[in-house]
Amino acid sequence: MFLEVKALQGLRKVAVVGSGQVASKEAYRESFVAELVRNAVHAALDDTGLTIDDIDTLVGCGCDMMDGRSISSVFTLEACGGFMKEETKVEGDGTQAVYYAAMRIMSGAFDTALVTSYSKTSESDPHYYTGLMSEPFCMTPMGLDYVSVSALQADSYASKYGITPEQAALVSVKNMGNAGNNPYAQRKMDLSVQDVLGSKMLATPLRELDLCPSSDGAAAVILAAEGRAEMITDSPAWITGLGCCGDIYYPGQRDLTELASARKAAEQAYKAAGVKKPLKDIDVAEITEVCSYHELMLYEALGFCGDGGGGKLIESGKTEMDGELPVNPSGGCLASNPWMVTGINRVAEASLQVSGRAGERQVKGAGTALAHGADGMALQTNTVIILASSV
Amino acid sequence: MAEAKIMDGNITVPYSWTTGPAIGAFLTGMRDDMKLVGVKCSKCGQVVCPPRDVCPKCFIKNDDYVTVGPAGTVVAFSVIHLPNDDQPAEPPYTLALINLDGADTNLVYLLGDVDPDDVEHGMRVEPVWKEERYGYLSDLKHFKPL
Amino acid sequence: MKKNVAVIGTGQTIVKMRREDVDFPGLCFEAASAALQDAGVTLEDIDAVVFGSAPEYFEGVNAPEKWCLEASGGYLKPHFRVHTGGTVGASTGIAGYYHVASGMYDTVLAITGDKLSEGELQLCLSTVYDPVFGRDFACGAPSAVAMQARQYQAKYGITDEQVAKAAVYNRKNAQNNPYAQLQLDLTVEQVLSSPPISTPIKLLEACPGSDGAAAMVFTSEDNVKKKYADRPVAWVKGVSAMAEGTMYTYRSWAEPIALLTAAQRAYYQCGITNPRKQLDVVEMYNAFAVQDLIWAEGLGLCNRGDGGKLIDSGAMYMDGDIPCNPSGGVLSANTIGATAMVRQVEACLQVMGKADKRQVPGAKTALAHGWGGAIQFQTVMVVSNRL
Repeated sequence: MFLEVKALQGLRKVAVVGSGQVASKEAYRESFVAELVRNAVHAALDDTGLTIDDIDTLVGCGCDMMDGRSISSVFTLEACGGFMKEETKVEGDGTQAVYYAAMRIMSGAFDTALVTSYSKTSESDPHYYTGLMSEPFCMTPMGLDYVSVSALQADSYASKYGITPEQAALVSVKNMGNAGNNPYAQRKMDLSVQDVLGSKMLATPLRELDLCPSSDGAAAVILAAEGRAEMITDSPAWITGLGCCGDIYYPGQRDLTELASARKAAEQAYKAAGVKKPLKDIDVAEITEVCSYHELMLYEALGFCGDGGGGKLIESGKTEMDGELPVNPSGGCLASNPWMVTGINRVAEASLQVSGRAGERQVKGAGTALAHGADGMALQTNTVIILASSV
Repeated sequence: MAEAKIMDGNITVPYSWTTGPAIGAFLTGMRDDMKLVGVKCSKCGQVVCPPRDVCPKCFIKNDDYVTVGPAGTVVAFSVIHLPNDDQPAEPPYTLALINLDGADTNLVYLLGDVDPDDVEHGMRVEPVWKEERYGYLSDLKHFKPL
Repeated sequence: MKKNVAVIGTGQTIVKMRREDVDFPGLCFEAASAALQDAGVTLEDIDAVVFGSAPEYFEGVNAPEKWCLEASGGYLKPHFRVHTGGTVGASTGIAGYYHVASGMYDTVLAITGDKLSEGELQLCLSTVYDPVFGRDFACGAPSAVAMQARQYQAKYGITDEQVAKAAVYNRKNAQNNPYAQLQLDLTVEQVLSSPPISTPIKLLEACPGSDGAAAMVFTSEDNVKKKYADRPVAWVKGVSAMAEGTMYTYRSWAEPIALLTAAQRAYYQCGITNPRKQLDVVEMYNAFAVQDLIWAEGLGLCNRGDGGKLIDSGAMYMDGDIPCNPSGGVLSANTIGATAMVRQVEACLQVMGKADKRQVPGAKTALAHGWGGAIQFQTVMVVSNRL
């Protein structure tokens, strides 16, 4: 649906003018981490026809503990194109970096921004990278990590609303099937529900095919202000809504059956973008579903259905490629999870959709897209970005 | 032809963390009295266990410590099969979200003395304490069915 | 297009080597509450929070902003973390500024901190070095700055006495600052005879490692006009955060091009052509005494190579014409996470006239500087009590 592309609350308009993604792989054994991000940056610059001199500011995104190196961004800075640039780094999820870069442009201080992120989880272990998010007193002794906490959340949600493993499996089938159309995706699989239910149990109710993989990858997006964006591309993806929200840290201290912060982030973004009926007003969504149950929870938090309605929504087919609101045509997080890069991939994919450049995964006539990113245990912090093409 | 090499390494750092008053009270309560300490917000009245120094909603310091439990109800659980270092037990083991009696929030804890297949939502559980306690979370061995 | 942004309140914790009475979230809560109180706002008035802390290895918890989310005021608010090494305090303040300057948010809390006492500080700092090429030789931060000191002192003939003078005046200034960790009355001789850490740096020329947090409340011009017309505020007049590289051949640690450019850009934004005259006070990130001189040159407070002459002239002292580091600088308190923000906080306090015993009389325009990483991040913020 083509909503009126008005500037965010009357502020300076910003668009995604191009992107570059390095395909997600289980491991890039022959590449040093700086090479991955350099390739992503070059791809983004090639996509836009810009040179690094055209970039006014760089916003990076990364994590020291994943890299096994403190202030790791220092050493990938040159590869990111950050030499002698106004530069900063968000440590968290890629969508937050895009969100912050957009604000920097909106301030008028910059006209163009490059947002980069990289991930080489193959060099360490996501069990540690996420497990180290535990507070040392009450959480570390329980050996928590993204698998166990996502599992507790999935169980909380499923047991409250009677969500079945079959309903969750439909998400995996859809996403890994969609990934077949995405040259950048890692897990491209033609699955049946039975395949998912027969995969190895990791932590009930999550089986291997219910959970995201861990990927190496990199991505970059380029943002530009109105006036500049139109000179760079014929099909800028205008940012019409931005929302970010964080929730309580300790998993037991919040209601894990819902994603209150995702709901609030969406509300903030929808208000600016004029989205009133998400299922109708949004044409395509790229969300960060760390596990299959998360996608169902996000359907509810993002207002695609009512509370507890996630299972029925996936069964209805409305979020399939030929449905009313295709979710994750790229395969989403279940197909590829290069951690911080994931959020940038979501923005890149959403921008490709509204620019009509999403190749075989294009949703026909997509005018308004939603990109969602999440960070922290049990999706503690969520960011929502709405992108729209001009009619 | 150049060979891409792999270099293995480790980062090992010793730590000495300060718990702050709330977690301090929690761990001390476990060690000295085999009791579970929560904190009640003087403004909204919410009782949180494990206790935190700040109420997220009211943004005030909380130091009204209360005893909760010892029994509680399993509101969610997961049987962990995937092995890793630093786990509290040998897989398969059960982690649960336990709503201790008197608390408004849940505690994430290991269940024991129960077959993972027999764990149910709504099950009542109680703490099993170690004989020797040192002020670490592990003073509380696990929760078992009542 | 560009909206004017002011700082209406700040908060700092008293910096100590080790705060045994709080955990990291508790420390953040202290600074956040203090800033809100100073600004005369409650958490309801805050539209967004931006958090900053330095390498996670310091406290050993990944994504510490998640752990400290509620304590930093982020419950159901926009909240994310910025991390740029030593400059993180400044980058977070700058992020707070951009939140408001973008027009998206009206009042924003920026908060930073670290608890360096939890881990082995120099061991953690050694993880900055390249695991293949550098880590086996790493000796934390002092070894890197020692190279900088050698290069600088050799190039311009800066003497060890001149460097020691910088240590002496900073530590003396700290005696006026209730938040400073170290408040020492020293002589040049005492500094020079203190044990070497990484030559030529001596113990009394080095910063401590600390636990502490700081916070700032930024708000829009509209809001200032509506609610703060009768109160002193610090307007953000110039902002720049530049990064240079680590691998390029013409790199000079004595004249970091990132600093020269950051200063140039910030000065241009607020019409400063003669920093020595137009700035009333400067808070620099002098983690080591020699940096007092290097940064003074880079910020244009004197000519290239005249850092030694500058310190000899007494211009940088409280009664000089360009007082530097009335707070005692980083030599007196260094939490790393909050340090660069404390420079911004102190600069704001100066122009707001709220710097108590360390107030430079009549200060109108102040500069806050930060450095970080492999000495290739440089930040400059200029604040003034006049728009």
